[in-house]
Amino acid sequence: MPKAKKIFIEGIWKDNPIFRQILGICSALAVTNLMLNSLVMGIGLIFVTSFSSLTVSILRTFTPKHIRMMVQTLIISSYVIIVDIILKAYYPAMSEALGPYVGLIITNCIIMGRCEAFAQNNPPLASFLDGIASGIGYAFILLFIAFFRELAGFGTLFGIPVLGAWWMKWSIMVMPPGAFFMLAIVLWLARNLSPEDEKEKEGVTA
Amino acid sequence: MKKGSLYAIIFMILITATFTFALAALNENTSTRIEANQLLKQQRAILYVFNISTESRMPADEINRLYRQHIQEGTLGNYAVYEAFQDGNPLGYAFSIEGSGLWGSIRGIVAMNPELDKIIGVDFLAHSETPGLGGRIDELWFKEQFRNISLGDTYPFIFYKPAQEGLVDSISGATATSKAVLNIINEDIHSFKEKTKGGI
Repeated sequence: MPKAKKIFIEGIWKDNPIFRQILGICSALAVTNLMLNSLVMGIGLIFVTSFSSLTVSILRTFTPKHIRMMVQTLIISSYVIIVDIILKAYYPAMSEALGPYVGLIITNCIIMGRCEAFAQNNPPLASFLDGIASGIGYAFILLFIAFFRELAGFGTLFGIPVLGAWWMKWSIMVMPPGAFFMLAIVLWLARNLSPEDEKEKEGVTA
Repeated sequence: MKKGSLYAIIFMILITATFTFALAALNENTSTRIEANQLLKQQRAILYVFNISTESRMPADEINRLYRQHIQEGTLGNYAVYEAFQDGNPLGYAFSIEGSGLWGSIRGIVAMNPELDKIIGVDFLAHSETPGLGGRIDELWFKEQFRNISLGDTYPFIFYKPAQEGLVDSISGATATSKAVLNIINEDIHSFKEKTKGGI
């Protein structure tokens, strides 16, 4: 299925929600001080984005255009609450570790962005895949940022110490400034690695 | 009225009803499970504040057995008080604390020795502080700092470290949460002491 391949390449790299669309920055800054937090946030987002996109896409032909935002918000928040309830009931330890993160998924612009930009005009299966792809793109960047922040700030990865006691912890990396530094570096790197896209886009908007 | 408005309203009502119904059903089906989880969490926390060791992998009935063995639930006015015993000797009293943190209320449990001049332990049951910053009040290194510390004679009873009487470290990067936690502990210990003046 060549279309699926295209969707995944776009979601993960060419149209990556974080460094291309600059969406989901708020949570990318907030949760990336630990790898585990980033991973769970990523999984939660993949789930909510894909199922929201699927539902929006199924309902797209029945939804009146002028109330579609309301419908999308309703769908997204329902899925987030479902995730929250299921975690609380069956994975209490996980739910505790995540705490307020789950609720934060609602405010993630990527979900609504994908519903608006893709699911609204595409069939259900493609929308579902698009949600997964965007979620993976997001999770990938989060883990990348968290890797360096946790390693430099705590000397650990997923809570397991990897750098010895000699490592002088850069506490600033796990505090908000570290998030801004790392995110900026990621944006700079990623945009340098694919400069031709930039020109194309400039050509389009010009 | 614009054309199609009626359809839009009916559509919205229908879809809201559907989703609300689905969520309500899910909630109904899981609520007893969630309640049991919360009870277990509370029992675990009460055992923890009295320094009765539990392991994170310990099954629910094991926790339950330890809890019944050591803890006696009582009340003080309309305040729940948990009294702990080890081999027949009283360990102390635990009571719940609550107050506002940076983003929402913080709920926890404090255990004190029978003379009420020492904190045996502190645990937090619910909060909505920033994960990774204020949320670190859940971490063991922070909670363990409150293990067996003597209180000052007058309110406020405990301080953070740079102060002369300081016994505990605050969390760097989470000043507001740290302050809030200390306030909650100080205030609730104060009011507990006031209430127990006539004896428990």
